[in-house]
Amino acid sequence: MKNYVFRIVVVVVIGLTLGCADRPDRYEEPDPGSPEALAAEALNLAQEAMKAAGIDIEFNDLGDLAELSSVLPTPEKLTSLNDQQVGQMQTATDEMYKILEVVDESGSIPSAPLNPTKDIQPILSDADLLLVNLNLSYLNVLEAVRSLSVTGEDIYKIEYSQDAGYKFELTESGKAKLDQAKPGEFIRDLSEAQRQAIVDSLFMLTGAKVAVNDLPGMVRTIKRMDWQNAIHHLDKMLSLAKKIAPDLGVAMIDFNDIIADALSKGVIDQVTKWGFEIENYDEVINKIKNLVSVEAKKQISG
Amino acid sequence: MKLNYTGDVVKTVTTFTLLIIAVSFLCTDVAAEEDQKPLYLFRSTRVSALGNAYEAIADDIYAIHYNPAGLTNIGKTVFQLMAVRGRFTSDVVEEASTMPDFFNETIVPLTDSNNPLMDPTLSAQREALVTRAEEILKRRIGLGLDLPAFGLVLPMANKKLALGISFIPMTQTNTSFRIVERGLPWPDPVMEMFDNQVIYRAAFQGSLTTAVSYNHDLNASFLKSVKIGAGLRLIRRSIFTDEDNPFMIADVLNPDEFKKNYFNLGDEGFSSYARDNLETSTGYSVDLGSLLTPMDGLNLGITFRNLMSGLSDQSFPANLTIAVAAKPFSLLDINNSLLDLTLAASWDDPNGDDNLGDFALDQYTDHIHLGAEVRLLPGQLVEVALRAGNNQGFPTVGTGIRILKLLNLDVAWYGNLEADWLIGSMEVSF
Repeated sequence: MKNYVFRIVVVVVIGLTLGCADRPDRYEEPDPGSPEALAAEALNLAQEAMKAAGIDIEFNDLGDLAELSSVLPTPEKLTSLNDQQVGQMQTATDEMYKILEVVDESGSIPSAPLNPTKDIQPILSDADLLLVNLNLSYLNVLEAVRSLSVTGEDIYKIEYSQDAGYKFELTESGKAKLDQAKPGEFIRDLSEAQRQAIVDSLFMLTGAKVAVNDLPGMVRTIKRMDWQNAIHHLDKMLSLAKKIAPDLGVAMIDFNDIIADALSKGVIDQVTKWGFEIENYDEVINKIKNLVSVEAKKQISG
Repeated sequence: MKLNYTGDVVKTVTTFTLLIIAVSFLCTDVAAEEDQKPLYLFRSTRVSALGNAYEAIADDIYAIHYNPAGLTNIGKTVFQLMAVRGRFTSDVVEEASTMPDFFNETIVPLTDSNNPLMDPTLSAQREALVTRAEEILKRRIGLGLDLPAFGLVLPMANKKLALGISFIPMTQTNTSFRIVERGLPWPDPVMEMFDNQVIYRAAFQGSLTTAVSYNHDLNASFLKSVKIGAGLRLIRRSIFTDEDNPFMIADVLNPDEFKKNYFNLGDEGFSSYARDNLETSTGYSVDLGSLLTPMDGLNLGITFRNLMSGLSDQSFPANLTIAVAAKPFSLLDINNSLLDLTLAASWDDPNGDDNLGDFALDQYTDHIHLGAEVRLLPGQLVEVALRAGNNQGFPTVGTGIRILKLLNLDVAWYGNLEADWLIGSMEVSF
């Protein structure tokens, strides 16, 4: 009896020292099917797709936010993407837009039409929205640059430098063709793929709508909402950055300059010379003006 | 002979195996929801080391808080002064040991800079800041300090009745700090940290507890004695927290707005600001307890804590505990003046953790407390105690020394659903 009791005692004492329960994780998973869960799922898919395409963004330092242009890949890298990677890039864009479908651009659940007075609480923070807009502007820029780089052949090209970013320009033979061309002839001499790439890229970069009916061949306008373009997302990003911290807004202005001024306005200036007609030209130019350094700095400091 | 030997081995192995399997059932992984609203039940260092399996032991002044029926176990007038009791999570130790270097090497250069976000020379400091914030996400930082608490137990009516009073002035504190993941799950640590929330809570509590216990000796063959007790606790609590409006890490990027929105001290300084933002509530709780002694060395306890309670417009969740404690030497009628051994176990519902009820888990480990105490040289001028336990699936261990039957020094490693804690206390009782 005594031995039996002492055996129990020994085992119990040893047992007491064992503790195998896990403490709960502090991260609360959103309810499946909730807007938060749908947005998180879309983000995960977008990030996976960006990684698969080799264009994912990584910041090692908070200061990298001041050097956003350093995350931009070269046109050579973008033209080297295979079909699968291009598909992944488009998947990333679609999934990133799904986040905004779920929560709309203010980060709130879109209000129910039958109950417009209902108090709407944002479910995404300003920081999340800033990053979603950053990714969307980045993805739109990449798609536009890839599209133009792939189709340029000996007519036009995009060059890249760390300081100035992307620069869209005619090649030497393109310049010669343009110089010798009669009005309307240069556009006609472009391939259908080149005309389509220019139309699509203008929209993805700025939301510019080219009068496609006047163009030769079967050129179509891209099927997207008017606001689904890089300039719009840059504008949102800048507003949010300013709201979070003015210094952050200032830090992002260089990126805006590179995308809005150097690339987007550069493309518009070139292609309008070639004879492409932009239906909403004034609106687009005004948006770009608001984003470039002087105007934006005034806005931020003001 | 060989067969008998084999049979003994088989029996022994089987017994041990069954017991180990039984114990291992207590160690199943669990998942939990966390909603922290602390009750601040008083936890003595000794009881913490025993995994909170104390309701059937209830043999010291802390019976007031665990099972008031146990007051008549004391059998003499006891005055106790708890000079100090401190506790902090094990993560605090790690954080504190590296904090001075982190502050000097990372925080100071960043705060001294005019352009902390962009200055390329501060890249290493910014990286260190992000890494630190990531580490803190996983940490559980909390500390508490209880300053003088007084207790008095008076036996009355030929020790059949005992009255206990415990008074803890406004010095019981509990502070915690944590960073909680919020928003979209960005894979990049820099992007992920922006909307993580920083939640702090500092609480100050005072309580006055009175309890009365009655012992009735039956001396029947199946029941030697019955004790019943009741306790009333009055509580005043003040909490300073940002739980309802926590700030995000991104908010710190704009120091002026951050200060305005979250720490607007105004002209009257921090003390006035803290006073204005303290959420103070007053409340009470009533406990009932009983202790049955079927034979010498075996106690059964049943307590109802917070049978009635209120704290402003809330109430503490009621808690039922069923407990058993055994002293094997007494059970086996062994006289041993060098050693005393106590084993205890309790089951409670809802789970009786320090935040009572709000740490609801889904498994039975939540409800189980186990403890063992070995006292060397019990009742001598120097008495040493070794303790081990299991509190809701988390190990506890501790030791204590009682010197000159007057001074108690105790330390414990205590695991609960929130964190692993280091606890130390110094008490004088006579």
